[in-house]
Amino acid sequence: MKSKIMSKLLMLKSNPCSPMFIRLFSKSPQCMATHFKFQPETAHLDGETAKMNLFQAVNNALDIALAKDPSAVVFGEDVSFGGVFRCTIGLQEKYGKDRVFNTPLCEQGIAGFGIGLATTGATAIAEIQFGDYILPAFDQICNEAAKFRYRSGNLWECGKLTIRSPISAVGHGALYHSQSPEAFFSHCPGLRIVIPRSPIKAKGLLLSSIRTADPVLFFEPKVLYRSAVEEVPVQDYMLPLSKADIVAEGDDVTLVGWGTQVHVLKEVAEMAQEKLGVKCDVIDLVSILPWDKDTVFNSVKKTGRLLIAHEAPLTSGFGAEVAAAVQEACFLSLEAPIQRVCGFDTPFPHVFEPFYIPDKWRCFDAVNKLVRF
Amino acid sequence: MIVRRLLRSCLTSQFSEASSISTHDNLGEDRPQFPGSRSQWTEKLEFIQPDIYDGIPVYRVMNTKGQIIDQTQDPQLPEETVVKMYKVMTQLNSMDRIMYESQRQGRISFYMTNFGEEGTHIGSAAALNPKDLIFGQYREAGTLLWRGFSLDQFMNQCYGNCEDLGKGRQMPVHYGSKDLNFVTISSPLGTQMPQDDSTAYRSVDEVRYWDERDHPIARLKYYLVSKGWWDDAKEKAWKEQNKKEVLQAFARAEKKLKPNWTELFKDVYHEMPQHLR
Repeated sequence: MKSKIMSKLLMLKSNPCSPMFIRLFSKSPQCMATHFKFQPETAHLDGETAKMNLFQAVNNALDIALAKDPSAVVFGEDVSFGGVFRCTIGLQEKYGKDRVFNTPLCEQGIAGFGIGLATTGATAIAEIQFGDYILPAFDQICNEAAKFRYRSGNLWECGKLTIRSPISAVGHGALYHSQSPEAFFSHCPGLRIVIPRSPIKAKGLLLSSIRTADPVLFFEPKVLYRSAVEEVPVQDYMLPLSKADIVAEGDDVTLVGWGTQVHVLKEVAEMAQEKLGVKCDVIDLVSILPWDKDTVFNSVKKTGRLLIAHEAPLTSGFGAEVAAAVQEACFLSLEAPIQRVCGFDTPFPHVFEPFYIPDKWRCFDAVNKLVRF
Repeated sequence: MIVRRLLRSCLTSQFSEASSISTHDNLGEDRPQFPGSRSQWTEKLEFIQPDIYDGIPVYRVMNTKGQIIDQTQDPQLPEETVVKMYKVMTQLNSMDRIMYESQRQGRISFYMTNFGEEGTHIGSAAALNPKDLIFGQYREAGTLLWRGFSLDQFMNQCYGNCEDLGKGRQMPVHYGSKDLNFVTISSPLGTQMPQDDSTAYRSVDEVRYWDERDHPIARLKYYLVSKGWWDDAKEKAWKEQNKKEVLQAFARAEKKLKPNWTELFKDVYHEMPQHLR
């Protein structure tokens, strides 16, 4: 790694677009700002909207779910007072302690209890306080929830289970408040994994997740809770799971990401247009499991160049699955090797976070590599 | 309140003339002040051995000879119920012996016996409402048998044949029944080998003691006989009928075909996703 940075410094003169050059000599104070720029979208729905950030959109979805489904319950650590990210604010007052309640400090128990509850036919909406803490529940989620329907020959299932959890970098979270664990669970057939990029997406996807007949892991990028604000429809609406979104269009390069990273990639697409004259398809996968292969394949067959970016470490991150599938399905369309810009293969660091995350400079550098191959 | 007490005692000992360490706080209580604790102090640094404490008492109604010790604890169950309990316990035992043998012979891949637990299975199941959901671990077959799971259904699951309710997806003994409100069994730890049964954790002497002196089936039989509800002739007839029924169900199950191979890909999700089609 050190030698990589040194050689990059040496190359500054010949390559003014290199990330190190821009980072060291740019005048904007990178360290305090977020590494992305949230650009609000408009919902394609008629009807009244209200200004909501991500936690308010999640709160709204939970409110609707509890109102319309008398069997729905919300539980997790500290959810009664409103939750550490305010996602459950006001719900206990409105629906009572029977339906919105705290659990002991035991992730395995939260998951196990949720599975049992869902098996009896109640809608179980569990919260794991940080995605970093979901690992004690891994056995329950992967060995029990995911396999419930299959192993019972469809006699029993826990599709009414939804587990929500905040994930991803927040600027100062370090090892245990910044992780993106989607790859671990992507390896487990029977689960659905959904990651919203915005308040509008979060509300619709959460309602779909709660109502779908499969157990869902709903991972919310915590840095977006306050910073992402949109005009969100107030009505009850659902968005399709397993369908990727094309959030920007172009014929030259395909950029694939999810959650916070989608906003980084949108900016990278703008930079590519401005500095390289290159137009990008930007794809938000939306669902990690099952994932929308067709949308990605169609795009890569058009552009021939693919960049996948995610905060989770490179090795065996979900980008590896996308890359493997794309090279198999689109080999002859590829004009350059597939690029993955990811967290390094280290635990998530504290003070080094700005170097760790796949920021727009690293991604732009990769786009540059793709077009110059 | 307690914090204030602790603070007070800390301050007084800090500023006292004598530098001796006091084990008493101002109220003269010589115990650690942890909320909810009734613990004691000790100045000995040593591990506590388990034998210094008496265990929590174990509840029993009958002694090893099947006699009710305290008549007020007699549940006064009718003959029909108790005879049914005995029959189900022995049927389970019979099925276990035959299925265990078949696993040894390689005819089924795996089997967990319920030896010694017949009483707990049938007792628990009998106390529950038939609508109550049971989440069993994998030595709970007696509860299913009590509720009416047939020998054929047990065997079909062990063979994973086309009539297995579980559609051949799981190893033997992973039974489930929607009709009987028994949630399909899983192996959450997943590392049990066929050889790893309870005898791995018990000495031979301990197992023999249980078998000869404390076996639930034997104790219940003594009770039945003492009430005049069972005798040697009935025992002989029932044993033969039992064995015959189990062997016949076994033979039927062994002959049936496996489920269609397409079952491998179904039921992963509610609707089959595109990548599995």
